[in-house]
Amino acid sequence: MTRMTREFSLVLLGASALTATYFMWPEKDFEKRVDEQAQQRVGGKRTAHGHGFIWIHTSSYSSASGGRPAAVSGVSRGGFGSTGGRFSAGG
Amino acid sequence: MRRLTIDPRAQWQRKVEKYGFIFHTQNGEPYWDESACYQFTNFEIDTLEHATQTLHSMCLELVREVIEERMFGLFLIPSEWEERIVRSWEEDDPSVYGRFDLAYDGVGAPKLLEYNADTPTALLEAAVAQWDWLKETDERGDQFNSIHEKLIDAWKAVHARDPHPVHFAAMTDTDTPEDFITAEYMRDVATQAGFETSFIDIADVGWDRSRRVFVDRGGFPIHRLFKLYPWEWMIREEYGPHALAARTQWVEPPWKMILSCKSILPLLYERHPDSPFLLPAWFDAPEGVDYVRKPVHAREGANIQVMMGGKLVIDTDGPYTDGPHVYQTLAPIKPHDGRYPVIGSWVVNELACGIGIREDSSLITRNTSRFVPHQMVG
Repeated sequence: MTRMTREFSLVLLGASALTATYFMWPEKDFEKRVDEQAQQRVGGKRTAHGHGFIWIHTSSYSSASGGRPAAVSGVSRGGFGSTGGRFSAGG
Repeated sequence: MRRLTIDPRAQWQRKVEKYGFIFHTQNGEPYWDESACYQFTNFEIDTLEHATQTLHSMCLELVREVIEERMFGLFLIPSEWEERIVRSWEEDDPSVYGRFDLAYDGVGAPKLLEYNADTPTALLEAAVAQWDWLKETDERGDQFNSIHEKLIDAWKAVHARDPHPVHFAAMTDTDTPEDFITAEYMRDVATQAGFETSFIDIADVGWDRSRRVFVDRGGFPIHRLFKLYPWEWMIREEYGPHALAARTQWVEPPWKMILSCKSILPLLYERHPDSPFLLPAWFDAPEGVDYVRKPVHAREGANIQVMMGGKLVIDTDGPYTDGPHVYQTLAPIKPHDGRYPVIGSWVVNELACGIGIREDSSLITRNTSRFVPHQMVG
């Protein structure tokens, strides 16, 4: 028999200061803020790269793709993600 | 197994939003519904656990056969992907999770309706929301649910093999944030398992032509990508050939392309016709039985036809109009208070470890079907 026996904890979604909606945004302050909160909970290392999240205190959802990626020479984008439209890719 | 009508917690919306479950209401209707719950006995939970573990073993056995016999055509897998899938299987690329959808009435054996092997959702709801509900409404209550712990264990196992950072990708420009939040929850448990992680919109994944690697928004190579985005879509999109050439590791792995196709339903039945957990299923329409026609690649109850007494009684719409179908005997789902529950039974890190229940007033579970929590009673 498999049962849950421990309390769960969340390091990203459960952060008390982070209680509504994520937005992707290439601003280091927010990246730092989220990573610091995660570190406090897991004692791990800071995420080495990527962009952070802005946690907006609202219960409404908007696209999380607010900021566009930095243009990098020799890199193309947009080759995935064309099939689903606005429907969920989950099942 | 019985359905109870109960009082929702005061301000339940704020309570579930605490841990990021912000898609609890969709189109003005509750998706998370705690005005009811299902109760199961220990015996019933043992039955579900055993059925799930047995189905998981059957599926792995089928993958082994498909690979040995090169039966990829039945799964609409392009020939250029065959060797990549074989390599993924032979190298034991780790799978983190999957969800079997079961028809169960507490009396007969659970019956497999389908297997969401690649991009299962309703995960935060099952792992966290219903546990939080239980602990607040019945502190000493129990539940078939160690999904959260098993997810951390699964990612720890991946980390032990390869501790490089993991990127998590999903679509964000969608009508609801479900995929994004689900991917973020998965990122959460991977972070707890020790990984450095970051999120990227699947559309922002870049291809570096000179290095022949996928890169993130900052141009850093993507070593391992958790993708809440189906393989059958990925391989047919512009970057499909790059996915074949790149050294990127994937979660779920390429061999899951086999199990995420509903062609497994008739194949499992052919191999285990006496299994109590399988419904008769075929590649051609049967005669003389009530059946459900399902596209081999479809999700959220789209493009399903139900035939009863030789007549079409349900015909759902959706975008999956082109591909082939499988035909499965209509499952005997018993309504509870006029609602048809489907048990989503989770396999994480190779173990059956919990369930989530979605119910609908129709026989078809769709993206609008409500998630209802459960509890175990002695």
